[in-house]
Amino acid sequence: MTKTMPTIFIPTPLREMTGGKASVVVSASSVREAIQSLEAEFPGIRDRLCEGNHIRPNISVFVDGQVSHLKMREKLSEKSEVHFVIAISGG
Amino acid sequence: MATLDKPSEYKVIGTSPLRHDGVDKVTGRAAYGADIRLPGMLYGAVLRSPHAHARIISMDTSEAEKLHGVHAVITAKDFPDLESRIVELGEGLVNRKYQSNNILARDKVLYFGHAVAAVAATSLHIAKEALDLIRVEYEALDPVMDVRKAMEAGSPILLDDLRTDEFGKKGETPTNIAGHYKDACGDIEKGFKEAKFIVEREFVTKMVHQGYIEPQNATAQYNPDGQVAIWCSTQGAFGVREQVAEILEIPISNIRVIPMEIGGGFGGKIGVYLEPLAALLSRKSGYRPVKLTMDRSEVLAATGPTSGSYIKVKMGADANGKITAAEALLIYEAGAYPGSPVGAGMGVIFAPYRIENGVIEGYDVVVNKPRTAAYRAPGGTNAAFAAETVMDELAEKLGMDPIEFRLLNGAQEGDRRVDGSAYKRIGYLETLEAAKESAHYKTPLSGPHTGRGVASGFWFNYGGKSSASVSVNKDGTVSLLEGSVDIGGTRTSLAMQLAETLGIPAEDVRPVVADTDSIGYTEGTYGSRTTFATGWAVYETARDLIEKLKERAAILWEVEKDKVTFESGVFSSGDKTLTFKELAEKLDETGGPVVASAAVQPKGYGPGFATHIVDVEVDPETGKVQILRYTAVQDVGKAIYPVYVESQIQGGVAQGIGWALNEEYLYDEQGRLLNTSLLDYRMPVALDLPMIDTILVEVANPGHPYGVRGVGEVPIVPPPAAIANAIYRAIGVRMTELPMSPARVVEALIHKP
Amino acid sequence: MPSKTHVTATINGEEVEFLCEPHQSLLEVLRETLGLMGAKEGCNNGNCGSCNVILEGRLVNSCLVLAVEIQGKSVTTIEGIATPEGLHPLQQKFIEHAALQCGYCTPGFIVAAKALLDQNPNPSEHEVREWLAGNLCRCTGYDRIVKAVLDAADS
Repeated sequence: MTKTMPTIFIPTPLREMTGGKASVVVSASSVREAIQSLEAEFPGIRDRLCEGNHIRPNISVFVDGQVSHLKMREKLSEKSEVHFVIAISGG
Repeated sequence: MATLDKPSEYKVIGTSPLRHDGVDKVTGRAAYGADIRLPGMLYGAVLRSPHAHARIISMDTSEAEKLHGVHAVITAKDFPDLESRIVELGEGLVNRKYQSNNILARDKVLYFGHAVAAVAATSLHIAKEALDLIRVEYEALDPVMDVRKAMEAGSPILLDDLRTDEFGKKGETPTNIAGHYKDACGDIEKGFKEAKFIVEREFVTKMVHQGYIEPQNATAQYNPDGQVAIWCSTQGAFGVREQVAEILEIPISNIRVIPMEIGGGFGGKIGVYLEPLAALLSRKSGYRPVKLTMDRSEVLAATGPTSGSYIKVKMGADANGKITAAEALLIYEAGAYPGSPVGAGMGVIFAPYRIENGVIEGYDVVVNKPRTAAYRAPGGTNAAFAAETVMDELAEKLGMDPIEFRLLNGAQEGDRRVDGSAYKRIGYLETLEAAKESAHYKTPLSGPHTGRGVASGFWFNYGGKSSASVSVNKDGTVSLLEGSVDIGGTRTSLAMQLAETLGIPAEDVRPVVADTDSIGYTEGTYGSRTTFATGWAVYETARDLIEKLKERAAILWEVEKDKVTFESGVFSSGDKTLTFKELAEKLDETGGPVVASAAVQPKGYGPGFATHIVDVEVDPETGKVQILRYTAVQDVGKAIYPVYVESQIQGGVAQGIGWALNEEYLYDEQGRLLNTSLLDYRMPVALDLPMIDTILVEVANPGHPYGVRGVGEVPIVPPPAAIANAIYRAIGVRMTELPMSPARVVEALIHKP
Repeated sequence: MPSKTHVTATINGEEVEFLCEPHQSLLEVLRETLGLMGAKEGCNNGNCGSCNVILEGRLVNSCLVLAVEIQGKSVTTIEGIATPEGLHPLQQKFIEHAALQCGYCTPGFIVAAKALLDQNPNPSEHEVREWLAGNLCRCTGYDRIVKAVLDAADS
């Protein structure tokens, strides 16, 4: 069985928890699994991204440069890149 | 979905049909929010705070209630006392408690003009008389008017429960700093070590208003069964419905919002101000309909505006002109409650360039000014003013042409932003090439005190949720229902996408903007999303309709459906053909009416880039800056309705020029707004501006069937920087504060080294 | 003492009678009493031009005229610009040139432009810009409005 190894970009304020690493490759096939993997490696990071079982309401998830509406449920592929950014509204 | 990248084959897209609502709007027949009149209607007025920062000790409305003709008086006590909770209310994310308190102050007033009570009476004059009879006792507090002072320890605190949010971590002490954000990439110290030239400057910009000509208004009819209908001027009817439901704690299903024609919004008519007041006044006045309209001073004092800001930018380039490092600090005024667009400003500030070593830090800070609302590329103009001025100075130090310097460093597909994300196909370099080759840039500028400036800009654009529904009429015309309020020609840009897909003329589509009970959920007209996302919905609807019509043709021809094909508006099977119109005439013989609908949430929105060129002449005696010539180049993806795309760009430039040269909120030391009229809040008039030339670059967005990118917002991003750079070329001073009003230009000349 | 004043005036060519209070503006009476909603309120103090009407051949901001002042006078509003045969050339050119976006300021601009062309059928671009400097548009940047007026003057 091949493992899916997407790249998770760490928001700058959370890099104090990843030893300064700006991106981490994890074994995960969804955003939820990616956050679980991050939490296993960097305890406490999940709370910064999530509120309960959901991504915090003011954080947007981008997968491969496109906004994710499924958020935690979004599937990831081998080459996927995941970004967490503060939500932005337009006029 | 693959892009239908066959522009030469388009029959409707790229043409200029007359807009469908044109006659209504040139004859005065178009009905805007304030034009509604209902039987038995009452008129409302709002009492507003004379203080910028004060505690409400007591309120007595009894005298007002006794006045003949007054039917209802409401205060915050009539509103549900909401707990803090972050909710998505059409305007992005807001704390519903703060939003409720912004609509009607509960314990404290936080800015001059903050609403404290509202009255409904048989005439507006009586309602205003009643306001004078309401007694409010205030305990005045020191106002906090400057973001940097608001951040200092010991500064008066606006919101006792506010704690700084740092990406999910809450601070522990009361503060005026609502949020602290940071993006970084590479090694900033190494980057500056590699630089031969470094420029570092500080910039200040003032609060400015969206300046729509139609003031906010809302009319509500509450019924004894709990149903409420609201007629209003809004960028998004569904957003109004959600906000009213949340703030008044009534079910969404009890609210119907009917969007009237809207007299401009620019981001300022997404959040509600009057709608909940009108609804409550209607309920409290025995279910009479109530109309509320703001006057201009209320609009300026208590709606909008966008943030003033303090920004520091430091950039370095090596001897070859390559940017080696870029650092920025952005501090934005949120107004009275959290939510400035500082995050967007951070995303805009270095967006056009390849930055290998970058740090961008931002603060969202509350001050005693109105709660800011979105304004066209919110946060972007402030940021670009700072960065693009520094870019110009670097180019000068390098001895490079400013466009060449940008071409050398411009971002393209695959390049990463400071926040780490990579660009898909973008058209920034194409805008630079087009600017370089433009007649404007190739024409030398001469004359004393004249100068030419260049600046670029970026905006994210947005997708969001949209619905559309169509029905085919017997004569081959098509009725299109959609939920996107039409602020600038989108009925037609949507009808054109439907017509293109169906192979019929745009004139054969009848577009109608529907209310919240008549069409599927549709987000507001903001984020440069309507032609993109509602366009997607229209396209999907048309594809669905074509499939249904293929079935009808198959019935007529007595063949299997898969034997019927459709191309360029013609259905065919073997040697049999029917045009769309011919088939429409035969619907009754094949099963009756045909309708189709679609609801979408497209993800593939693409950012927009622009490069602007401006020539100015500065009068060194008076400091007045005259715009001599202006050319705006923009990647629009695909211009569906080119005349209105150009018009969006021209309008954005005009607002940017106003922001650059004249517009600002002026407060006295007590925090009272001094310029509450359009005479004193000086927006550009026809005499201030030249013709504004546009060059449309079309780098199709792969995330849309017709290649659409949003176009409405990015044109307001470059103007202040472009004009500042032109002023420098004209008189040799770097302007670092907006607006660059005559007084500031003269001041700068006096201190010219 | 009756609180209202009786006024007789000619509006868009038709004789009209109405009652108004002495403090009511012409704009308020046009909209609230006579149901002529084409003139818009943008500022109610003469700065935006959205309520422009032609009073005895002169362009005025109807928010700055008291309704009682029009006794015996003639007023043209946006509703009186088109003819029974169709749109006025200015209206047609505004549509053709895309000289409007939201359309809220449009009635005021068309009335103002008509007042200009009535007295100066061949204005220069500068004259158009100067004349229309009393009308605010926040959507278009004026470019297409000026072109529409110049084109209407030519036709």
